[in-house]
Amino acid sequence: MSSVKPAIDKLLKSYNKETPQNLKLIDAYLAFILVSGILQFVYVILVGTYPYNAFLAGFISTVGQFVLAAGLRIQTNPNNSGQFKTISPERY
Amino acid sequence: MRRRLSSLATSVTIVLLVLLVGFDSHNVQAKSAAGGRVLVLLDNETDKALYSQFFKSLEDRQYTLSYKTASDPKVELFAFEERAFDHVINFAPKTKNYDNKVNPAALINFVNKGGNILLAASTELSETIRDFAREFDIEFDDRETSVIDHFNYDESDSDGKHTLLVLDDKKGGFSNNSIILSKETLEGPPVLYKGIGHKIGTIPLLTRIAWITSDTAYSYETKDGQVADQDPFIFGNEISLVSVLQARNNARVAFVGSLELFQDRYPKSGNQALIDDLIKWTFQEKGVLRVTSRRHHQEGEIEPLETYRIKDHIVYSIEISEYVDDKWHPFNGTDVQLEVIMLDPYIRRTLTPLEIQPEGHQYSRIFETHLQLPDVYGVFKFKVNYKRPGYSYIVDSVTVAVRPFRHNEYPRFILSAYPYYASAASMSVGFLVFSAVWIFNKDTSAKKEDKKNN
Repeated sequence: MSSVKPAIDKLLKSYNKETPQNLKLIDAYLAFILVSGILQFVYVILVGTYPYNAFLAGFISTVGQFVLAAGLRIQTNPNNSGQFKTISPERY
Repeated sequence: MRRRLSSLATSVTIVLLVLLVGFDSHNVQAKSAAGGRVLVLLDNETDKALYSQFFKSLEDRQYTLSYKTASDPKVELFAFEERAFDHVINFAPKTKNYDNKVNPAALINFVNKGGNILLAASTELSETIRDFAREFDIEFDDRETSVIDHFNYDESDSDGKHTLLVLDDKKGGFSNNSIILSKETLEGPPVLYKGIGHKIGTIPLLTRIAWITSDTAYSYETKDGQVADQDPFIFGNEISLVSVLQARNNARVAFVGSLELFQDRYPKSGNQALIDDLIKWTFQEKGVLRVTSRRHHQEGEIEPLETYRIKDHIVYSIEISEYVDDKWHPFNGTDVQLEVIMLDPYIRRTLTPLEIQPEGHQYSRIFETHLQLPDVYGVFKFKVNYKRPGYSYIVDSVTVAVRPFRHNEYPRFILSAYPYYASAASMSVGFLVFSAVWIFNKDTSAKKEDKKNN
């Protein structure tokens, strides 16, 4: 336990310091998507699958958004710039 | 003018003829639901006198009997591929060679075309008749054999062979099928039986009517000085005496191991009642059912639809008559079932018999059920498959299509689905907001990046 806390502290510090602001923006958006997806999953377990198509629509829309946003994060991460040379400048 | 008059005269004559024929056929109608033409096959023309009581009872019930010897070359069962008779009484067990068109193969064809047969065998049973019986899963014992019981015979049996059996166990030795055997038969005096025994097979169309219950009875040859040194073919409870079969096309065939049963010999026995029941059932005077109509419609509607929707509430009803005492009456069964079938039965429901309405017709009863169609779409059958021993079979089916919900028939704005709606909406709004922020945020962050990179 004693070794976990400094590790987390270090992680947060380095995240705040090292991560570019636009990536933090994506991370916030990803966190929002993740929470709403989890909430729906918990809800469907509690309430039951009755409007199943509505559940699928809601849940899959969060999954889709998550995938898109994560893709954007990977492409715009300066650490990966070597892999995405042909990306148009509009995405930065 | 003259031509017109003559044509008028012709049409009037035709109308009169039709009326006459109509009345005539109505008058001679037999008390059978299947018709009144009977062919009686005998070994010899003179045998007719032996069964005078029996034949008289048939004639009293308006049957037209044609007596023929079984070897008569001219007798024909069919005329122009149609049955020439409705029923056949085969009292000719001795006849071996049928050089005519009433041989066993023709009789089987006759059954296939819906004709009824009453077959009486005797101790002198030809192989042709045994072959015929085998087609119906009935195995008569060999020629010259009789059913013997040294402990349970009638006193009047004078030859000392103990082959005149007393069938007094009306509870155990007779079918309890109340459609075939009436109460009078089962409660009346014992039946005296003298003849051959048979063994019935396992096909479910067969019904045993009378059999042996005493363990001391066996089936064996009865020559003078005969010693029973081999196991009998059948003994005890295995021995059937009277069996009937209703084919899938509702044709009825009765097998009786004794010609003596139909003779005038034993007036005080219960034989008369037994053969009355037997002939009435075999010749379709009782236990005959028919469907007069069937209807289906949505709850609260009248018109039947060709296509229903899944989960529709519908009403199904079927009208069934039973032929009793010369007339069609409402059928009184309580176990008629409806099956909603698409390969498998999805719903099986017992139909409720409705009361007869005094203002409606009195010859049939409506059986009805209210049901909700299954949550499966496809082509379904509403099938009533009513098969009870003794009654003629009812197989009645209607084909309907069941369609899924149309797109605008699904429920919308369901309360429990609001979180999902909110999520989907927030994803759309979130995408727009994020995109906007991303676009306008880009410059500063890019500069930062640039600075860092520089």
